[in-house]
Amino acid sequence: MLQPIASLLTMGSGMNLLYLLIVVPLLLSLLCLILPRTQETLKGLLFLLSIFFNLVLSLGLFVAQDTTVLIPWAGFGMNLAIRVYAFSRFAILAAGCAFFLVGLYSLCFIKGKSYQGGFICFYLLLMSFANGVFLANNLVMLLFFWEAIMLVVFGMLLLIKRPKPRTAVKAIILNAIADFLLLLGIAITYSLSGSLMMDVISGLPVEGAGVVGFLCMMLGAVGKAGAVPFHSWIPDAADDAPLPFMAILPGVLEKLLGIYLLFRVCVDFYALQPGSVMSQLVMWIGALTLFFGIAMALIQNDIKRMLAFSAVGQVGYMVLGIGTALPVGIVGAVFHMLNHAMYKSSLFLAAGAVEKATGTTDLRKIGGLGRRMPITGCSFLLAGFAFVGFPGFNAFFSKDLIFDAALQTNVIFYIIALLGVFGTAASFLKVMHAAFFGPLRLPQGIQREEVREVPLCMLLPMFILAAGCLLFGLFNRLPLGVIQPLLGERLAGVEYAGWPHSMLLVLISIVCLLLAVGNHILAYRYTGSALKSVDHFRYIPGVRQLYDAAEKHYLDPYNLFLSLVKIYALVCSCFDRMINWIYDVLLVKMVSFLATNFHDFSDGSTNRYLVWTFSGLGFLAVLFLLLI
Amino acid sequence: MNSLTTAFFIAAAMILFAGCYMLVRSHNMIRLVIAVEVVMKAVTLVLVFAGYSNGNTALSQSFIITIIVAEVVVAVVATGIAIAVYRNNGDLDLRKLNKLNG
Amino acid sequence: MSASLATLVYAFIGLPLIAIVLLNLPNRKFAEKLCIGTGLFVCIVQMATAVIAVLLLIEFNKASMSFSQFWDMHVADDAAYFSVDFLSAVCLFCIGMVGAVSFAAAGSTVRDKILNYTNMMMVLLLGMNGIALVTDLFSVYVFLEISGIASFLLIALYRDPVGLEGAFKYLVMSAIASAFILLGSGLLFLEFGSLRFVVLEEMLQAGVYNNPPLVWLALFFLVAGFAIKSGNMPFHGWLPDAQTGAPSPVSIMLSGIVEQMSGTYATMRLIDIFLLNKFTVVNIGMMLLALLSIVLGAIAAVGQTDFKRTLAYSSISQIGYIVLGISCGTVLGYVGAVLHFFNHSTFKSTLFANAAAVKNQLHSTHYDDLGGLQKQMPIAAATSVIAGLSTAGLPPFAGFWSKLLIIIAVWQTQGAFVASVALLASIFTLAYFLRIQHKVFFGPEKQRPAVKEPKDGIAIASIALSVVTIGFGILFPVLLLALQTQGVL
Repeated sequence: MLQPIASLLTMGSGMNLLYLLIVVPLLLSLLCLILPRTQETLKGLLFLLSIFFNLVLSLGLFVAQDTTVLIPWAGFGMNLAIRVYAFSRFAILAAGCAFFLVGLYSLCFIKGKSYQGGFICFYLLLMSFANGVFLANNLVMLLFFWEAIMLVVFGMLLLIKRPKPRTAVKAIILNAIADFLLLLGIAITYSLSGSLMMDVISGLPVEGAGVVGFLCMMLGAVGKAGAVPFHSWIPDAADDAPLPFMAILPGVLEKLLGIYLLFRVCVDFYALQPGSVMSQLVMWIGALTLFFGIAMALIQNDIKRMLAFSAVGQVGYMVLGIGTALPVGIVGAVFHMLNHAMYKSSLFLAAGAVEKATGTTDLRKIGGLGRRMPITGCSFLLAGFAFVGFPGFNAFFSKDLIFDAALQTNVIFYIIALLGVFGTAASFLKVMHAAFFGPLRLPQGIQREEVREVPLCMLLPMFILAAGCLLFGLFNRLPLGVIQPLLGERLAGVEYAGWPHSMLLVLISIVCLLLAVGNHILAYRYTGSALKSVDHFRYIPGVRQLYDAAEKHYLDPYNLFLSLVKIYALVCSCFDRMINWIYDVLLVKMVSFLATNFHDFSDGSTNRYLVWTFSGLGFLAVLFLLLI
Repeated sequence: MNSLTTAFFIAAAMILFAGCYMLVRSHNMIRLVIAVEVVMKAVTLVLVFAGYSNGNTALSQSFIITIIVAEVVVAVVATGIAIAVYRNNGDLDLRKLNKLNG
Repeated sequence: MSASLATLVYAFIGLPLIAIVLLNLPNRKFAEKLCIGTGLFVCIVQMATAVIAVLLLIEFNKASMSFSQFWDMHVADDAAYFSVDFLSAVCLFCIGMVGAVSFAAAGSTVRDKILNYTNMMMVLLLGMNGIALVTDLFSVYVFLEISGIASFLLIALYRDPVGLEGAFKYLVMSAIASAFILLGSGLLFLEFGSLRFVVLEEMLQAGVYNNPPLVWLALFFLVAGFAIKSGNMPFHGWLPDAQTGAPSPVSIMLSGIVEQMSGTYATMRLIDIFLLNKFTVVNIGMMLLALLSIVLGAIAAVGQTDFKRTLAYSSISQIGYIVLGISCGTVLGYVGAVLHFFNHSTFKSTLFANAAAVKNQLHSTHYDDLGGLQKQMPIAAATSVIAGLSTAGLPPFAGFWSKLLIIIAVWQTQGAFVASVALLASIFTLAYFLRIQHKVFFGPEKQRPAVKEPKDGIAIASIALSVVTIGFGILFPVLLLALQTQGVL
C-alpha cells in the first residue's frame, strides 16, 4: 500500500515531491497565519490535514529507496540537497508520528485558548523545518533549517503574553550561541574536508583543527538537544510556554535533532575513537548533564518542571552513549532517543491533561487525581514505567545498552548512570504518588465535579505513546532493526535485540529501582507526604549548598553570561563617552578658544591691519627666497 | 648701466620703506594718505627707470601720467573721508577709528 | 561678427556710461524714479550679453574674441584692446547677477540716496567690466582703480561713522595693494618691455630672462598685491570692516563681486600667463595663504557677534577656497576655482540680501538684537538656509560641486594633508553657518515690535538666487559635460 507513495516520492523527476515534506507544512502554516482569527475550524482542519499528510509522506518515505537530490543554489558548494537514507527516514518517521499524535492532542488542548492561531502556525513551521533538517544533505541547508527552528521556538515562547519575555530571550540567546558554534564548526569542517555535502564528508581525524571543528559542532548539537550548559531555558519554558510546545519540543524534537546531528558528527563526519580525549569530553558532558538534570528534577514540586529537568537529564544518557564511541553505546543512545521521545511526550501529555482539568500542575496545590482521572493516571503510570527503566519497557533496554558502554569505558560513568536511575525513579515516584494517589486536593475555586477526564482526542495520543513504549520494549527487535543498520559495518555483526547480554547489569538496575521504591516508601511513612519523600536528599550537607545555589540561579550559565555581557557593555559605554567628550567638549572648547582670541586680536586699528599686511609680506618674501 | 640700475633700485627701495614705515606708525589720517602717496612715488620711480632702460619712454610716460591721475583721485577721496571723520569725531586720530572690531 | 562684437562692447562698457549720462540729465526727482529700473536694466542686459558671448564663443569655436572700439587694433601693435573669453564671460555674468541683486535690494534700503548710489554703481560696474575685458596688466590697474574709487564712495555713502571707518581702511589697504601691483607691473615692464598678456606669455614661455631676480620680485609683488585685494588671511584686515560698515546693497556688491574681481580674477589671469606649473613657488605661496584663509577665516567666523561680520569672514574663507583651487595648477583646479567664483557670488549675495532684509526691518545686525526671525521672515530664513548649505558644500547644492572639484584637484597635486585640512574646514563652515541660523532666524524669539518680511526686491532677489543655487547644483554635471563636449574648457 505504501509502495506507490514511496515510488512517487523517489521518482527521478519526482524530486519535487520530496520537497513537499518541507514545503507543504510551510505553506499551510503561512495560510493559517493569513486566515483571520475567526476561522478557527478552518485552521484546525488545515492543521489536521497537514499533520496527517506529513504522517503519510513519512510512512511512504520509510519504505522508499535511498535517494539524493541536488539543486544548485548559491555558489561555493551551497546547494539545496536532500538525502533520504536510513537515519533520515527513521528520524522523519519518528518525528512525523510524534507530530501527528501531539498535534491531535494540541488541537483539543488549545481549543479556546488565545494563542490558538499562533500555535498552529508555529507548529506547522516546526514540522516543516524539522523535516528540512532531517532531509538536508548540505551543511548549509542543515544550518538554515536549524536556525529557523530556533526562531520558531522563540515565537512559540512568546505566544503566552508575559510582561517580560524573559524565557524567550534566554532561549534565543542560548540557542544562538549554540548555533554560532555550529556555524564555526561547519566552517572548519568545510575547510578540512573541502565539501559541504554531508554524504561526502566522512572520517575526518579529530586532531589539530579537527579538534576545534569537532568541538564546535558537538557543542552546537548538544546545545540544541538541551545539555548543560545550554539547558537553562527549558525549565523556565515549562512555566512560560503552552504545554503542547513542551511535549513536542524538549520532549521529542530537540532530542531527535540534537542526537541526530551528534550521531552524524561523531560517527560520520569525525572519526571519534573510543578512549580518546574528545570521547572523554563528550562523556563528561553527558554525565554532568545527567547528574544535574536528575538532581534538579528530584526537588521539583511541579509536574511540568520535573519533567523538563528530567528531559535535560535524559539527554545526558544519550550524549554519554554516543560519547563512548562504542557501537553498543551509540545504538543505545539512538534507541534511547526514540524511547525518550515516546515516553516523555506521553508524560507531558498526561501533565497537560491534568492542567486542562484543574488549571495547574503545581503539586503543592493539587493531588490525588487518580480517582477522577483514571485513564490519565494509567497512562502516566505506563509511561512512567518506561521512564524509570522498568524491565520489559523500551527504556530499560536502551539504558542497559548505555550502561554496557559506560562500564566498558570507565566505571565512574556507570556509577553516575546508576545514580541517574535512582534519581529518576525517586522523582517519578514522588510525582506519581502526589499527583494521582492519596486524597483528592484541588486548588481554590475548582469544584470536585469539574474535574473529570479529558476528551478522547487528548487521551488517545498519550495512551498510544505509552502503549508504544511497552510494545517497543517487548518487541525491541522492531526498532533496533532500524537503528542497527545505521552504524553500518561498525556493528561487526553484533545483535543487540532481545534480552540484554549481561544479567549482572540487569540485576544491578533492578536493585537500584528497588532501592528507590524503598526510599520512597520509607520517606512517605516518615514525612507523611509524598512530596516530601525526597526532601532528605535536599538537605544533605554539601548537596544543600548546590541546591541553594541552583535555586538562586547562580549555577545558571545564562546568568553568568549576562554578567559578562554587562561588563562588556560597561567598557563599551566608557569608550563611547570618551569619544563623545572629544567631539562635544574638546573640539568645541578648542575652536571657541581660538575664535575668542582672534576676536580680541583684531581690535579694529588700522595700524594693526597694516602690520599684519607687512608681516604677511615678509613671510611671503621668505617663502620666495627659500623656494627659488 | 649696472650702477645706475642699482642706484635706482636702492632709491626706490628706500622710498618704499619710508612710505611703509610711515604707514605703519602714523596715527593721523592725513599722514596715512601722505604715506600712500610716498609709496606711489616709489612705484613711479621704478616705472620711469623701466621706461628708460627699455627705450620705450613714451609708453612709460603714459603709464605714469595715468597713475598720477588715479592716485590723485584716490587721495581726494581719502581726504574727503578724513574730513567727514573729522566732522563726526572732532579729530583725525586713527586710533579712535576702531568701532568695527573683532 | 564685428557687429555683434561691437554690441558687446556697448553692453559692457558703453551701457553704464550712457546710463550715467542719461540719469543725470533730468532733474533729481524724476531721475530718482528711474534709477532702479535703469540699474536693473543695465545688469540684466549685461547678464544676457554674457550668455550671448558664451554662445558666440561656442558657435564660432574660438577661445576668445578680441575687439576694440575706438581704434583699429591691427594698426598699432601695442594698442590695448578688449577680449572676451570663457572666464571673462563667466565673470561678466556674475557681475551682472550681483549687480541686479544689489539694485533689487537698493529699492528698500538706500531709497533716499538712490541717485548717488546708482551713479556710483554704474562706475563700479564699468570698472569691473573693464577688469574682465582687458588684455594687459596696466589696464587692469586702471580699471581696478576705477572700481576701487567707486566702492570707497559707495561704502561711505551715508557718511556715518562705521561707513567712513570701513571706507578709510579699505582705501588705505587698497592703495597699498595697487602700489604693489604697479610695482610688479613696472618690474615686468622693465624686464620684458610690454605689459600685454600675450607678449608676457610668450616671453615667459621662452624662459629667457635678462635678469631672473627681477622676474621673481615682480611675481612676488603681484601675488602680494592681488592677495591684499582679494582678502587672503594675513592681509584681510580691511575686509570685515568694509563689509560691515557699508550699506546693505553695497555689501552685497562688495562681497559678491568686487573682492573677487579685484583679487581672484586677476590671479586667475596671472596664472594663465605665468603658466601654471612653471613657477611652483607661486603655487605653494598661494596655497599657504589659501589654507590660512580657509581655516582661520572659518574659525574667526564662529566667534563673531555680528551677522554681517560673520558673513565677511565667511567670504574670506570661501575666497581661500578659490585661491586654493587656482594654486593647484591643474585644469581641474582652475575649473573648480571658476565654479566656486560663480557659486560664491550666488550664495554670498543671497546671504547678504538676507542681511539687508534683516537690517532693513530691525536696523541692526548684531546677534543680541536678532533671533527667532523665522516666523516673521520665512523667505529670508529659507533662502539663508539654502545659501548656507551651499556654502558648507552639501549636495545637492551648487557649492558641493565646486568644493568637490577643488578638493579633488588639491588631493591630486598638493597632497592629502592639504586636502584633508580643506575638507575639515568644512566642519567649521557648517559650524558658523549653524550659528548664524540659530542666532538670527531659528533661535529663541526676543521681545520686539513686530517686523514683517520686506516683500519687495530683496525677497525676489533672494528667491531667484536660491533657485540658481539649487538648479545649478542639480544640473551641474550636465552643464560640465555639455561644455566639455563643446570644447570650451
